[in-house]
Amino acid sequence: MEPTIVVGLESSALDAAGLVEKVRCAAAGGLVVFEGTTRSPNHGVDVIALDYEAWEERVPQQLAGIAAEVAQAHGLLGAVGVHRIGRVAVGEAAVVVVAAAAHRDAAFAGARELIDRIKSEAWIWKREIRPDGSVWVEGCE
Amino acid sequence: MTEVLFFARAREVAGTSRQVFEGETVAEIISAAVDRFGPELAEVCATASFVVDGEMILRSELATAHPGSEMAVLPPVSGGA
Repeated sequence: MEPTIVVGLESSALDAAGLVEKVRCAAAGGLVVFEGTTRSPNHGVDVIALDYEAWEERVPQQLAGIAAEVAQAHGLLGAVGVHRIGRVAVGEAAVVVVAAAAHRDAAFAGARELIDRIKSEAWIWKREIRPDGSVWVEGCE
Repeated sequence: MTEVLFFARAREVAGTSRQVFEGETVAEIISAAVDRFGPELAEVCATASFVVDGEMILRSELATAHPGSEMAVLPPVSGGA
């Protein structure tokens, strides 16, 4: 059976619980959800928000490719990767991934690979908005 | 003619998200863009990736690869939180 793939870019708040429902199915005994949220301080510097920019014409297709490959590699039944664009306030989710699998090992491993690959490959950039100005962040941690 | 797409710090330094340039190679287009927008763009391009008509260009190919009809200047990505 083909895995359910849900990806996209959103300019408003992400609904992690709603995204989980998109891949919930009878055969999935494990659902792992990861939210990456704007934090402050970041490396000791106060952060007001993060501004995200993406290559909007290409990223959805790129995310779909990553999700399909990760689903295949881990035998996932469902894979979600949705990222915010625009301003994301401290505490809000910038990205949500979900991995659904028959068993927990694959679900945890799949979710980990989904977020790692989205961070390192997707054409998305963030600018850190600080009390005294803003800086582009280049490269993933 | 190649339409160059600038993202993130490249867009900010160029002051525009797209601009048309003439050149036979990716390197010539970069050089023309730096002439137009200033040396800070050269600094950005030193660590950027380049995608020509959907294909990633290796840094070793910049001097020889054709710039195609659409060439994207992509600084190191920083998605996720």
